[in-house]
Amino acid sequence: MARYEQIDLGLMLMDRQLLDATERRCGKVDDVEIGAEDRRSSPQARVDALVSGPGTWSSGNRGPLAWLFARIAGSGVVRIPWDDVEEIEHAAIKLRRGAPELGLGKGDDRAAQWLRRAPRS
Amino acid sequence: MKESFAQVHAAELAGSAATAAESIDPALAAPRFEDAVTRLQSLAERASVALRGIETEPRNPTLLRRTVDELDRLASSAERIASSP
Amino acid sequence: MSKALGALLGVLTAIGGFIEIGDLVFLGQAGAQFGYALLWAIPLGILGIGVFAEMSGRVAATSGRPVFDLVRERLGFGVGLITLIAGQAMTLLTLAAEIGGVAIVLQLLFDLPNQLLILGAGVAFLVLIWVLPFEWIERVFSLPGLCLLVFVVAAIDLDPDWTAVGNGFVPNWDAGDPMLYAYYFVGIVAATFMPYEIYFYSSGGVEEGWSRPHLRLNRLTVVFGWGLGAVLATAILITAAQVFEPRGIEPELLGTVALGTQIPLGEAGLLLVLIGMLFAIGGATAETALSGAYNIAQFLGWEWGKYKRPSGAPRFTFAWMAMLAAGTLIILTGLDPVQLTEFAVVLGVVAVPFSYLPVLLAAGDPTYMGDQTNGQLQNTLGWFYFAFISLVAVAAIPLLIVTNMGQG
Repeated sequence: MARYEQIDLGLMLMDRQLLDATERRCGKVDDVEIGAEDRRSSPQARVDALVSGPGTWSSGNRGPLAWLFARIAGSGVVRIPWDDVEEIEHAAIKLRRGAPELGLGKGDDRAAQWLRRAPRS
Repeated sequence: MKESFAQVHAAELAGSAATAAESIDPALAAPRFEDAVTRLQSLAERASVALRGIETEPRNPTLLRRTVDELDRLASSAERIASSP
Repeated sequence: MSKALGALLGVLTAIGGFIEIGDLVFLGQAGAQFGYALLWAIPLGILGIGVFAEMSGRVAATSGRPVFDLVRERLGFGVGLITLIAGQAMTLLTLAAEIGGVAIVLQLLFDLPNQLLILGAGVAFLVLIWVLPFEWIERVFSLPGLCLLVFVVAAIDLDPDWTAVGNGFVPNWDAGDPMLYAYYFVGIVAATFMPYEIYFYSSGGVEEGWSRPHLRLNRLTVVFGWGLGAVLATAILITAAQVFEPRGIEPELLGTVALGTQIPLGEAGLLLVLIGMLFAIGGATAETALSGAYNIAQFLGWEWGKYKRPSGAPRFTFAWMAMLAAGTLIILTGLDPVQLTEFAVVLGVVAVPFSYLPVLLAAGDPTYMGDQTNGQLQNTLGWFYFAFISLVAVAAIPLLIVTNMGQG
């Protein structure tokens, strides 16, 4: 994914579904890390990483309910380097690697361990 | 199924009638309505008793006919009270 | 399965799955109180939910995005979270009322203790939803739910004054008791506009892998399925108007609503309507439980879907199980399902505009929808109904209070 393409962050990245390399849903884009690079003609912002996890919910202008929700959900945050983004599609953002490698979807992994004890799971 | 429905539904209606009887308090009514409210309370109580009869003996045709007549009479009385000036 | 059979099943499922306990309660009471006067609320409400459903199905088929995925993206996390919590609360109360309704119908059929039936129903739904694939959940409940069509037979058999019925479809107003009339109008519209139906419908589209070839099926299901569902709703109100209004009966109990078909059609009518109620309300139970899980999973980005094995979408699985457990516990406290329904239906409509708007915006956005973007008619209807449902939402709570939940 070209690093310096202009992307309308508001529409294309925030709150988007993340899909790992196996097309597994593994969270949403909760925040975007933006860096800056000095270029000869003009400075340009670039997306350094996507950030996912309840640790971001209490920040920004999300309101008191989001803050409360974050207190319950925990402070986990996962940083996904921009190089791990394969493609930005309408329905989701596809990643290059699997969720476990990237540290995503841990909640589902823990929950699955419980469910596997049941028949026809 | 018919019997089961009759018993269960009659029990529910009897409960509703009993609740209605309890919630009607003649003492809280304006003096000119006190008599009417007392009679309505009595009608609700009698309806509850009649419906309990269906709940306990859903297969008794004589009781069922008597209950139908009784409930008809109670309904007519209630309508007369409701439409009186 | 052939396309035609699939479409037919889809339509039948929509008709049979259309009615739930809220419709039975509000339509029965509206007919008993006001005769045919509120008939016009039915097509008005159904056209609105049809517009909403068609848009959400089209968005799901074109972009793969179900409703709550869009809610967060379009409204942002903060407002989206409020919508989620409000939607979840109303879905949970509705679920509790539906489980209670299933228990009531089972009790009317088999005369077993109510608490035992509630617990048994909760466990049965847990097993059924765990074991059955998505399409079979819909079919198992919605197809036998078609027994409710006995209301259509009853309505015709009662030989109503069809001119008076026709007049009921012309918008009118009851000056005698305007607040109560308005309350039942809101109730009928709210019962047809239940948000969980759209959450379930759009998620179902993604579950079934809808894409562009399914756009026609989407339209067919909405037009015929929900259109014929409107005929069923009309029949329920006409039956209530014919049987209860002349006798001054207020059908506050589900058993009383069922008697509406027994009086013209005898024991066969009663049996069919009870079977229909059992499966229609049962279907709504499964839909509300799954809707609650869809919403939270789609908002937070968890893996979701009944098309996956339970351990393939673990937090989603725990979510619907938790919804079922919570709903069962709520109704086990002894709350009256009919009153709970009225409460949930009327309050639920307050959440509808917040779920409706993201779908409307997405359906009108060419970057999402390409050549499937809303046309002029769809846009006009879409925005009209957004304004309409917002007004209904604003009026709902004051009317609930002023009329003491329809008690007058």
